[in-house]
Amino acid sequence: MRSKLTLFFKLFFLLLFVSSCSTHKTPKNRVATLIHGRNLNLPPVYRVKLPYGWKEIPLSPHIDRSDTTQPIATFEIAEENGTIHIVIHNFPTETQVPVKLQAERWQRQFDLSHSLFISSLPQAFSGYVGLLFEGSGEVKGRPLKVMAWALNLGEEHYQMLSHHLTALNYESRAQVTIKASGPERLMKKHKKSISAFAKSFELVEPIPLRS
Amino acid sequence: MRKLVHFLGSITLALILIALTALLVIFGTLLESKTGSHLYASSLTYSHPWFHLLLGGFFLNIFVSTARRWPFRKKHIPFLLTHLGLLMVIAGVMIKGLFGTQGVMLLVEGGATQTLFLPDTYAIAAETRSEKTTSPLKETVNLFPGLTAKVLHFARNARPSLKTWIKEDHISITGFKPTKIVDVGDLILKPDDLSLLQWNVVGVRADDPFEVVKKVFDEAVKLKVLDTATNVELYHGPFQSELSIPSGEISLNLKLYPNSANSDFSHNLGLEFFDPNTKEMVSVPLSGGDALCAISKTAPYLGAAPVKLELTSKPLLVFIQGLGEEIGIFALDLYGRAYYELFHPENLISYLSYDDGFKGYAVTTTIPLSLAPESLHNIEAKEFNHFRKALEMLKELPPLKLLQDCCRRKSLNFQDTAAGFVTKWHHERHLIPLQRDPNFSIDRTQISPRDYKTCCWIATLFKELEQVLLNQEDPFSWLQARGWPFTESLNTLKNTNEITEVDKITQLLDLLVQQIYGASDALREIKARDDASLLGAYMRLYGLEPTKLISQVKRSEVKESPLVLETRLSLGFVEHPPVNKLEQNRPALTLLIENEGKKEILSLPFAEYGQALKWPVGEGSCLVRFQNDSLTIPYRIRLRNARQIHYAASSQAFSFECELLILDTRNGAEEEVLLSMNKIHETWDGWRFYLSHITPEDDTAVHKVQLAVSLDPAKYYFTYPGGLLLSVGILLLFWLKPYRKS
Repeated sequence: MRSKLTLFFKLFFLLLFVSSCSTHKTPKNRVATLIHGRNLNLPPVYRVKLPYGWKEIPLSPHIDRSDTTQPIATFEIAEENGTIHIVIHNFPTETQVPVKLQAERWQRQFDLSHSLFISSLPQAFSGYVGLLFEGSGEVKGRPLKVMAWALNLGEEHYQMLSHHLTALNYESRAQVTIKASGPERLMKKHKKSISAFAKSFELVEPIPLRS
Repeated sequence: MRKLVHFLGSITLALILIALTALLVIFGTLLESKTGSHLYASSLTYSHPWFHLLLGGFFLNIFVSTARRWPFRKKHIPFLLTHLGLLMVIAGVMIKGLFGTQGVMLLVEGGATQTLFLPDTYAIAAETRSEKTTSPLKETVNLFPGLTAKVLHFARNARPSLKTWIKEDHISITGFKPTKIVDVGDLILKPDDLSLLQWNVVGVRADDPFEVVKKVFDEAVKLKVLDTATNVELYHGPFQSELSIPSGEISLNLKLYPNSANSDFSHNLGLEFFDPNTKEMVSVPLSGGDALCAISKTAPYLGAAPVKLELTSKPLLVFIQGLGEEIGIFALDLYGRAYYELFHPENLISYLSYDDGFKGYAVTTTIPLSLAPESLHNIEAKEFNHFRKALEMLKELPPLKLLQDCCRRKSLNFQDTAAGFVTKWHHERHLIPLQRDPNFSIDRTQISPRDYKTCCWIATLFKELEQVLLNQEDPFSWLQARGWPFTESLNTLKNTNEITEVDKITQLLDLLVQQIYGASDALREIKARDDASLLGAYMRLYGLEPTKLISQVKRSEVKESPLVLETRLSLGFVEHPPVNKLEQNRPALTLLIENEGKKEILSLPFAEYGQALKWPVGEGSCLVRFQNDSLTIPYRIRLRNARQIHYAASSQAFSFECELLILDTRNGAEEEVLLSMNKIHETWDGWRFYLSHITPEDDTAVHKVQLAVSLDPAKYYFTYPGGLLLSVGILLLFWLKPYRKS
């Protein structure tokens, strides 16, 4: 009888510590990385979680950061059979530009003479709304797969930052693109971590909410 | 006294209390199922003082029954544990009721907040340019020093009412004098009294706004009906829905078409009528880029509409108060272009905020009309000019080279001659143009033999086909009866259900041209009747017929700045009887605001969880809102991502999740947390966060999340330990030898 009692108490305490399972496995092996915008005089505008094994490629100090054709951050996943390049751009402008223009630009980069697979999905995370562009084909004769996000801040957030238009807010409300490109097989292997990386992208400071 | 103490600790009292509690619970359950309102049932049962009295009764009963056993012995241990556990659980419930917190937090992806809204509470939130406060609702609330709000009236259930273009029976437009509105029966429009140089504003009250539109046309618009080909006036006089022209009677139907491309409830207006001469249905749009350009709905492939309308009016802006809150806005320009919109205050997409709301709010509407619009004559001149330019650009095409040659021989300007030829052809409405000028000639030797044969056949066939179409016979059957060889393609076109009958004929004409050209080698030689028909056929062969050229004319809405109207928003409410389902009641307040001696009255509907605008008071010194009470919790919650997870290959939701960043503002400690269905988060000091709602479900917009937040200060000190003691006590009661034996 005592052993039954003991067994009962053990089971009871065991049940107390069981929790429900989540569908989303947040990778633990990631490092928060801060990213400056176009203006180095301002504090870092963005942060993103960099998976272990990814390498941040420092930007050359000679590049003109105000040139929006230049990225604000570059990363790399280097393996024996190829390298994936990930670049982040932002485009501070006076008004919001539709994200589909970015997708059209990426599509034009592919050689049309070869078979091309294109898809575009809406995306919303971290206060941004935009699309995920995926393309597989050839770029300048090289087979390439591209996963790229073009993101604008949600309308409410954009209005809020425009209302108090400091230099930091001007940069914060910029359109952002995150583009990963590399060999198809390698891109398929790292698809989940690339997606998780992109979705961890956010502004360092939370956007004030209208109260 | 002993008897009292004995009773207080007796099983009799316990049974009475249990029975009363059971009855209360049954009553609450039945009430909730009958009214559908948990709040209503709760207010009469679980939240009612009676329930708290019962709890107190249980506490007393258990305490006295325990105390009566003093002095305690070893055999009392299970009993004591059980009763102590019960006392601790009841104490925990009472402490939670008095000192616990339960509320709702609203988060937007990318944003953070520490504000917890308390359901079923009322407060006034106030804000100056430098500070914000939230004060629980009382009879008089001190918002800020020198600024107080006194509750004049509390409506338990009301519907918010936004006043826009019509306020207190007057039209209210920024920059315009207020105009009193009249009933539709009292509306009299005297065109001679209206100004030509500025917008005449009229306000009308009517059950059916569209009836007002018709009345305005009848009273304020003048009309000319003209034959398109000859410009002969068929009617000139006031606009009438029934009028006579030489060929018969016309019924002018004023029609309203939903403007599906526009999301602000604007509609397109137009006139439709049946031309008794040609037996065709004619449509004249009055809105949009094609306004005033008549088209034949029956036979557009022939060319322009057989008749055209010229309208004249004084510029009018009419605001119509309908039955509900919607306001009809109708505008008419000098030449009859019309704009119609149903303005719904409840469906505002955007509004203007002056000085962050401190100077108030406004809404605008854009009316694509101007005081200097284009007349029909201007439009026709533009069309002519378009033909000139288009034909000049295409002048290297063989048919136009022929025409150039003709112009050179006769010393005529090519652009004007070509545009004139096409315009006349378009207005005279023939498949092949007529030879009007006997001196018109082209050099047929410049046409290649194949093209020449093709054009002769096109000219001959189309002249006969035109008569078939005017007689409203079936051209497909006519062609088949005449032995047309390419029957398969004709049948395919005839039997398709994807296009209208009119479009089938338009496509048939193009198909015939291609077929004749393709089979020209097998056709016998015939001659064209005249040079105009030959040139017309040649132009058809190269796709230069007027109906194709006219479709390239880009007409846009008003070129000059459109009229932008603005009106201030003012807020009120309409009181309704409260409903039993308390959750559906939306209260409202009427406040007397006193600001350093100055008084004003403000109506404020309830804004649940602060999800509405704050309104200016005190000459713009402060903004106020009637909402739930709130408190600031010691955690800043930032929403990173929220998402709905679907079952594989299905749109059905499997789970909802959100990623939060929780910052303890007391020590700066930050924690990343994932909340999902059935997965809550609890901080070290007992704050619990539960995900209750995500919107939208897809990724088309920034996600918003509602968290249920609670704090039970007694949980770890009373409720859980009490429960444990109770469980251990019960086990010991049934498992120990002395009790098992009995």
